[in-house]
Amino acid sequence: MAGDSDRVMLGDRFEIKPAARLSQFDQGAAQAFAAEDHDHVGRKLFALVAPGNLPCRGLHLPERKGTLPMLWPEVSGVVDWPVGNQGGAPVWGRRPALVYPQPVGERMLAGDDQPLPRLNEQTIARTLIKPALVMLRELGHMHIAHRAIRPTNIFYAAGNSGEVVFGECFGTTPGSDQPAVFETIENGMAQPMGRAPGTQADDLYALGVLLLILHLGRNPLHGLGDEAVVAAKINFGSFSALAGGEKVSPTMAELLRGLLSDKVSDRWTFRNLDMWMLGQYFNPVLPVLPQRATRPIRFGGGEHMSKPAVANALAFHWDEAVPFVDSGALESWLKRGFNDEKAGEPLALIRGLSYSYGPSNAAKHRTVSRMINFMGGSYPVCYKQIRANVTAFGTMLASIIDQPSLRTEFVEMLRGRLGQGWLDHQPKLTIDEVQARRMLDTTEKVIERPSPGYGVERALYELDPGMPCYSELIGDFYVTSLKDLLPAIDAALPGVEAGTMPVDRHIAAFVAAHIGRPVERELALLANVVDQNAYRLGVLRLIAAVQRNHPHHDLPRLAEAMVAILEPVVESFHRLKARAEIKDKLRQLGDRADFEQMAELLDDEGPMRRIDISGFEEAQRSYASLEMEAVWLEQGGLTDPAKIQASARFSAAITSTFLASAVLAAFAIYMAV
Amino acid sequence: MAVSNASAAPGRRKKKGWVLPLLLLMPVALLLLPTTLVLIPALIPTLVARIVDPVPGRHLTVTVGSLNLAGSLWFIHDLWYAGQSFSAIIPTLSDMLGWLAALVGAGAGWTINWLMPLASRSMAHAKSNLRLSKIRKAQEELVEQWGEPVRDGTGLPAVR
Repeated sequence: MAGDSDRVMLGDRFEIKPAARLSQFDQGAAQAFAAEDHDHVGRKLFALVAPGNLPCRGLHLPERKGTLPMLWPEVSGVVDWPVGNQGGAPVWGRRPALVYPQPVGERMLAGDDQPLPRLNEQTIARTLIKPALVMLRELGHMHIAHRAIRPTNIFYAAGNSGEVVFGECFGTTPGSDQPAVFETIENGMAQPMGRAPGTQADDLYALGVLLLILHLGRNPLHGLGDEAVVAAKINFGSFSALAGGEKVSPTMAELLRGLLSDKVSDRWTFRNLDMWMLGQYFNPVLPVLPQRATRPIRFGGGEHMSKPAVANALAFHWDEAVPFVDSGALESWLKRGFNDEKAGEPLALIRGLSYSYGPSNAAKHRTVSRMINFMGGSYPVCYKQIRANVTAFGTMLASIIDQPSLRTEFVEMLRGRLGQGWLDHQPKLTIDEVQARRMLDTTEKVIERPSPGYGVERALYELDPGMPCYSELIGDFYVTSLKDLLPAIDAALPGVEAGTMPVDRHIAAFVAAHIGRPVERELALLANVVDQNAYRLGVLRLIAAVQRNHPHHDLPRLAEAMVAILEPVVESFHRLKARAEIKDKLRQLGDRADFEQMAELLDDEGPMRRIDISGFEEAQRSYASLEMEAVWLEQGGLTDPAKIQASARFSAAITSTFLASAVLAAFAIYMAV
Repeated sequence: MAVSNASAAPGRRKKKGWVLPLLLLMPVALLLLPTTLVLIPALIPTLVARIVDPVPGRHLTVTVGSLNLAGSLWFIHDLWYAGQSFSAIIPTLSDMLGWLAALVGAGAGWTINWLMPLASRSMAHAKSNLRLSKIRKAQEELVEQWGEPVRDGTGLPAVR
């Protein structure tokens, strides 16, 4: 931790100054601060401090091979950071930070409302496409998509004109800060946090939009809402919608039609762009427009002529969509508008699937969702207020997990297998989508279970393995890896009330998702609300399981807390002497923060417990047996008059017979003598 | 009938129990007839004890009889010194000391029979108290070792 000092160091070289904000370099939710290079004093740097509740892809960047015409972090890492203020003193947590050199030139566009510069074909090729090619080639080698290509994230290499340098892209979630106009139909329709991490094809599309609006000197879709932007792109094709009827030169049209193709397989690739720059001619890409119906359908305040357009409208007007789909008007339009009498068959299948999975009271909503999927094809999964691509389910959930109503909708969506349904509907899956299917299948097994380590919290970490832990206890410490978990808990404990459990639902889910081996037994103990001792043992066992994977023993506060938490467990041992012995042993293990040994010592199936239980049962039996004997004695077991009388008569007979025998023997001896 | 046979069997065994010693003693009694004739009146207290002793086992008869017989040895000594003839019977039975010995013997038997229950009762109470205190001590040790819950199955700490 940073302690009392306000100095925040990233490595030994870069200092980030929390008090010196450079808001002009903010990137979405990532805030910019002044930074200093201690090896080269005077360099103009800024640091982007990313939000602590989302994965930051800038932390694990591959080595770049050359200079890129984009802001690339000098260094990145997780730093100690003042995350709050308590009584005038800063509360320290941890945040991902990326240090960049400050751009020399001005930002191309200070805000979305600023007027765009108008660039001719040659200028565009020289100042924009040329650096874009260099950047995209290098990013392509590293399998990274920029996902933040827009005029407000572009700087001039010098001054306020000429060649450009693209802005940074690692401080925020890919695509989350892009206006819908720069996004493909699929991503534009999704909510910002529900946009796919994307590929180079998405960057080329964004580049196409950038080139077009800079060539026109205006954005024809400016001022429209996301729904209208997407609707325009669906109805006219992206190029036509964005060109807004303005004429562009044939060579530019060839380039822009290629980059703005709404069909990914037809969209220009980096190679096409490179070849175009070298003067290669390509056949113009023709727009692929959706099939038009013979008559429009009225919905959501507009008339729609195609299935994707209706899908888009349904997604943005959910409350009207449910009664609309239920009324049969849509089915009738699909049959009559497309002269397709068999349209009812897939709809029946959709209804059947909607009623097969998920809570029964939301079946109609699932029907709407699957209808959107049926009509939109590759459009995002839409459910009530949620619109997200399957590969962005993790970030989408992260953005709404603190909002109960949206969280419930998301859980309903997962329970309804809408993600799997979407994937089943795709003709071909990308690698990311195959991975998403695996994650969704894992999530399906845990989402319905309400106990700690399962449910929506587990889904969060299963859907995005890079998601930081949201625990209230360690949420400020940006824990994305299991190896950082125990040190974070140890660091967080002094700031919480005494007796606070070091494991909550988020930590349990985080561990279960990352540990890579079954922890069902530990989670079952954590779910035991009746037996507090079982719960406490569950906490210990889960921490011990983490320690087994990542041995870390410098955890004095956590160890102290655990020893205190386990006191009632020790008290549950029957043998009083054993309790004292175990307490001593526990203290010794606490000094070494050896949770594995602690768990073994207190294991309810371990030797100590077994001996204690069997000994106690034996002692109980002995006590009961002694008690029975005591009761028998107290009730006259030995002093019963009848028994005494009988015994006395017998004793008297024996005594007198013995005496008489002695007399007879003496008499016999006397007579013999 | 099976029932009558079953009930008859113990009776026959009981009879046999008395008959055998009687048959064995009979030749001795006939051989030592003067002694037998002296012992019969000397053992009258035993006969009385037998009559008043209804308890199975006849411990009172044994108690009184054995010491009565020991006391009657005085008569036997007198008789045998006098040659164990029929003529010595009356003089022997006229010996007051002989009667005193026989009756004191029988009295001692009665006394033992009377005192023994008192002694037994005292001993039983002492033994019972001693055992009880040992039990309570053992129980306290168990409680010290295992805590109050060892007393019964209720109020036990949670055991999984």
